[in-house]
Amino acid sequence: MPLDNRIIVAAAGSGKTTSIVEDACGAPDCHSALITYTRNNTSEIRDKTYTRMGFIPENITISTWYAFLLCHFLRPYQNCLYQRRISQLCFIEGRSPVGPKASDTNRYYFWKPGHIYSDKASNFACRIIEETKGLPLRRFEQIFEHLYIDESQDLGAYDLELLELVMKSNVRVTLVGDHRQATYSTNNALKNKRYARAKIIDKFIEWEKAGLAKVEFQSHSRRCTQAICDFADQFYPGLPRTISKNLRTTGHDGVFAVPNSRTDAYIRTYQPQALRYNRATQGAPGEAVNFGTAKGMEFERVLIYPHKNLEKFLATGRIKDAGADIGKIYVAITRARQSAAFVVPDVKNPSLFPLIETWRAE
Amino acid sequence: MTIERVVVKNYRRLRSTKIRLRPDFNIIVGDNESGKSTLLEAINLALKGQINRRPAQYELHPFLFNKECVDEFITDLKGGKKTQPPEILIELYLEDQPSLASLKGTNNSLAENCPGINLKIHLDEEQFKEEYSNYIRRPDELRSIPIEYYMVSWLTFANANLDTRKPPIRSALIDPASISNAYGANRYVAEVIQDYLSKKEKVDLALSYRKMRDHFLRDEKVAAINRELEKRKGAISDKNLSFDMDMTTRASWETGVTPHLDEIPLPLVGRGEQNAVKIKLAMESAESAEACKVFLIEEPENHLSHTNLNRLLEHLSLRAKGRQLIVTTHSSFVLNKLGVESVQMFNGETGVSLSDLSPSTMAYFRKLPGHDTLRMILAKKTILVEGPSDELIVTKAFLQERHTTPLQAGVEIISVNALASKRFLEIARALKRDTSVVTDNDRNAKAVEEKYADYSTEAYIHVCYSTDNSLYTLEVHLQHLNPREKLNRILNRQFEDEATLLDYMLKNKTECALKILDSNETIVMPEYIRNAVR
Repeated sequence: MPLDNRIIVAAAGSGKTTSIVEDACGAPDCHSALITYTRNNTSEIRDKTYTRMGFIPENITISTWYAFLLCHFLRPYQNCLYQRRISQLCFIEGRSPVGPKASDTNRYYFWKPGHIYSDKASNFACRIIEETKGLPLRRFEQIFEHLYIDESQDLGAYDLELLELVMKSNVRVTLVGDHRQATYSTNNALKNKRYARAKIIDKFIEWEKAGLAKVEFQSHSRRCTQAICDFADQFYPGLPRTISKNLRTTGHDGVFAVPNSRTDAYIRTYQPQALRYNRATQGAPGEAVNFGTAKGMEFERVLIYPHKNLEKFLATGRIKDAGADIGKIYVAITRARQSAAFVVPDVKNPSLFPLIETWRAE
Repeated sequence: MTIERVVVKNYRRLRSTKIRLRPDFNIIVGDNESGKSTLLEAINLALKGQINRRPAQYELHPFLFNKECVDEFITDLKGGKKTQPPEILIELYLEDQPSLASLKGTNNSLAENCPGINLKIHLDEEQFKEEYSNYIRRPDELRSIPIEYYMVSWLTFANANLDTRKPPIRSALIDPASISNAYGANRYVAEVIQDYLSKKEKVDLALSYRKMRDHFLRDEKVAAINRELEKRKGAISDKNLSFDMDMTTRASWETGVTPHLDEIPLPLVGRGEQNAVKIKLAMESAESAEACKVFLIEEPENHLSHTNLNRLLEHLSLRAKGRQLIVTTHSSFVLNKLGVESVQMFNGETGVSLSDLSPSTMAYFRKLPGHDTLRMILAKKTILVEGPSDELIVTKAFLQERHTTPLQAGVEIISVNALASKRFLEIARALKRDTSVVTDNDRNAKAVEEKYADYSTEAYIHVCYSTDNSLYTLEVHLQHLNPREKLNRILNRQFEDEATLLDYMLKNKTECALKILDSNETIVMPEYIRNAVR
């Protein structure tokens, strides 16, 4: 491995973001790009940099994945394939139209002139690299020495192809992420579908076998208490147990069920951050944060408003009942330092929720 | 960090221009109206994104567009031809170095992979598609382009937007024309400060300025006045009237603080001195990373006294290392001082430089004290002659043939010795200048032909000499063509025979030539000389 590329797979709350910020800030002569998928996580990186340095050092560039693509891999050499300036992305949930042929650049890649489909952006970037025999990579090497990607489990499809090309270049690459938290995908295109979501770990291991990077596992959590770690771990059996480094006690630590009728009292007592699956989740207050959006965030306590699958899982304890979105559930639980509580229906028999202790107002 | 090449399309006088620049000095010379100043203006616009020191978007007007181009557009529309709305394009291709890599890409008209800046003034198709289609619907009423639907795109070759608050390359423009009023002068001075001070110094000044404003308000007398005014509430307005320092952004320290020279505010100092100071300030600051890298100077000879110009040029040539200078000039003095190898002969479309000259010729001209090089470069046509007497005779021939003086016709007659003439021809060849050489055959016309054989294929170089070996020099030729009586009259002599007349002419060449020039009589001139002046 010529360049010391690293892939760090670490449990929630292990301080992944902090570690790359420290790493980049600690090397003032090295031009580093700190890239991540969500806006929230980008501001997290920005906040951490301000907290550490008081300003964003000149050698550090912080940006979202898409802004990064536009700025370095789409626009500079776009005119080999497309003349009009690519002014913005057209955000697509799911997949953009598959009707047009890829050779029909205008219709396949663009929603309207200058607006590229978000799910095809990295595909287009790969095509530009191919067409120009790597010019964007040569340019990138002149600007940056180190590329950090936080929450790298969010990448998929052609993002992985592009990343592989960067790993083969003279730029050092550090990916940090946790495939357990693979909730989004920047890219829902069919390419590399077999590495989608949590299976991205297989791609990481493949890269290691190809000599492109070294994969490191870190299984400690500075954030969550051991009870929270254990509860979250059960969604991913077969991985090493997460060891908590949070030994603080507050008198209300661990995982709890809160009957629906007592949520007001619970909120008054502990002021937890409300989390919900999405806007459609019943009963959650307006200020609740979606599971997916909460990635990268950290709270003293969380109160989780379950969606159907999660409710079912809480009742049965069977992982398959939790549905396909266990990544989001894992994220929600692991946001909490001290306590994670679920809102459950009022039932006479508390043993319906066998896994967790039901909270009773003192 | 230098500009290697400039492409301009449809900007004012410049319809389509491509010019390569040298990394150090560039002295742009050319005929009047060739667009030298416009070229500087265009480069400055692309470097700063500004026109008249304001963001270009606010200063757009139809006359920025090349007139021919607009006329063609309107003619096309009136003729029912569908055509694209005119666009202005200015591209600066920069040296490919790592510190500029973020400006790098292929988004330029030459599809070249290098760092660069691209400024376009074009129809805003997103916003005004419909308005534009209405506008061209009645072509008969069209007079110019619909500038209100136009926008400025200022991008890097990587297709990223640029911001006028932070141009990618620091540059300084020194153009006397733009300081036409007090406001202009103030802005000018503000720019001096911006160019010269470091970031930290600027912040310190801004802080002190703000502190001074606070101090003003806390002053007991000001407070008393404001209390007094407060009592009169209702008389003038229902609201409180009070005095305060101007806190709007436009009244920031840049406009409130002015540099002084010997305690005289810089805007009130002579313009020449102002310019010299501005250039020097910008050069001084060039040591730091925030330094000015590109200097655009328009005709420095126009606003500086000779001594000041000399001092400034000394300063420039000493300190210009690592910086690029683009100077327009008509002054042979500037040219000689900064080096003839830096000349770019600009004709509106491209620049021709002397870089093809042989090193020995280059060295010859660098030693040449006079201004003959620039005389040649700036002339419409040059006639090279062999000495002062020939110069006078050729001038006479010119007057006879063209009924005007060479000066009025833009023709330079330059006297050079026979050996140097080839050096001058090298310049003529490099710059494509119309040039004639008038020479004696010295009894060997064949040798003359061989001597200039290299130039026989150049369309704009003419070697004029007599092919008759018996007419070996100009005096002999004149004496041969004109009757003795006439020559006696002109020379105010009474020579009895041709031999003594010729002997006198050969021994008193200059004196005879002067008398011939001063005479009202028409002289029969050798055919080769008539060819040279036609």
